[in-house]
Amino acid sequence: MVLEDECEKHGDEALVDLVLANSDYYACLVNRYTEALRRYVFRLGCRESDTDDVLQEVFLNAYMHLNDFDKKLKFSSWIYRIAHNQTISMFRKINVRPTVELTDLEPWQELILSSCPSMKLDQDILSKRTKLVLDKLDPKYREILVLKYFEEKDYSEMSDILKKPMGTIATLVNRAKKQFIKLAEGQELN
Amino acid sequence: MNTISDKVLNKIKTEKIAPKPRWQFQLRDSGRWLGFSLLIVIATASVGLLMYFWSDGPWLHGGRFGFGLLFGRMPLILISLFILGALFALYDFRNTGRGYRLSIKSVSLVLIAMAILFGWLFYYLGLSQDLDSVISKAPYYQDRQMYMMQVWQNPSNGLIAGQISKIVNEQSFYLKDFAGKEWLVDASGALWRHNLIPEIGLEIKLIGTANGNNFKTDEVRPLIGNGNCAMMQNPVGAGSCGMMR
Repeated sequence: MVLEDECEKHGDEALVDLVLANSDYYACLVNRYTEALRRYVFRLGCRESDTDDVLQEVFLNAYMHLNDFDKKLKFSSWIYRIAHNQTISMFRKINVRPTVELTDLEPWQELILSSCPSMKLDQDILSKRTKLVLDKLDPKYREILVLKYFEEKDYSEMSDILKKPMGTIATLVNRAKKQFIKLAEGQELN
Repeated sequence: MNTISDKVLNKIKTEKIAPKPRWQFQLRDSGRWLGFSLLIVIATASVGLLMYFWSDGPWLHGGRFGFGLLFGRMPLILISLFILGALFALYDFRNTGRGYRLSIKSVSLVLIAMAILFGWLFYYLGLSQDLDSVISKAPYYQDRQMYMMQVWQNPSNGLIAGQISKIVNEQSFYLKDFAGKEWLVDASGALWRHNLIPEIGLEIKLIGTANGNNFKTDEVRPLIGNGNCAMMQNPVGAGSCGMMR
């Protein structure tokens, strides 16, 4: 059992080396990323009831592939990539479209209000509009917006997570913003 | 208590799960690079062969035929091989290390430029001709002969090919073309590529002018190859070795 103090002494990349020597250290990495990844897979559209299963798979998968971790990358980008792939593969396996739980509408509402400052919406309309926007927003744009605005990743990290060139990421961010604003303003909701 | 952490560590211990060994990933990466290199070689060789085909086809004759023949079946197979080689190489490259960071457009351009540059070098060094003779017996490669016939069985456009059937004198001979027609060839002042010496049975291609059963030739080439001297054989006179008779 590794104590929390011991975990805090080490950065992610150093912990990877320690885990390869002693699997107990893996608890440090799992604890460090559980909440962030839980939020992330949830915002990608994973149902709350499925997130624990997805996260377990993510961490087991990452553990088995630790020797494949490229230390020139950030560990966080690498583990986010695994989480992303695991979530997408789960959607494919059970053949469902990502959903957004009503409990997680707040950050999206903030994004709507900051993207369309001229709109005056009362809370009820805003909630309905947000739900509609998220139902209609293309999943590939949703994942881009999640990484950019909620996970606050920079383009280089997004490029490593999604395995796309930075130029493509920039284009996707622009398109995602445009579609999001169009939907938020109600232009495509009818 | 973090249940995820406990569950994960518990599973690792009870099921004795261990990280996959590093060599497996190294082997996978080496395989990708090897595949990438092989695909580049395929694309390069296709470009080299294509240049060889075209150099011996209508290309050099100022489009006497139009450019339809540039895209006969064999060249199309080579173009497809080049495109497929480059596409798979691109896919392979993007899966190696951090290959995904580079834009598809720039990687494609570099790959295509590499294949064309190395393909041209391949052709320039005479390797295309060597490769052509090595694989000439491969299935489907026989199409090459049909392509050559398409190009060189065109007396109205000044191109014929066949076998010398009879020597009349130093300046003229009879040639039986591949359609079985006999031509009286006037080769006075013609350039004999590759230092060819006229003899019965010699298979050649001629560039000149047809008039009835007579053919006035300006240039004689061996049937296989364009008669240009490869760089390795004649560094000084590449492309022009031969002699006037």
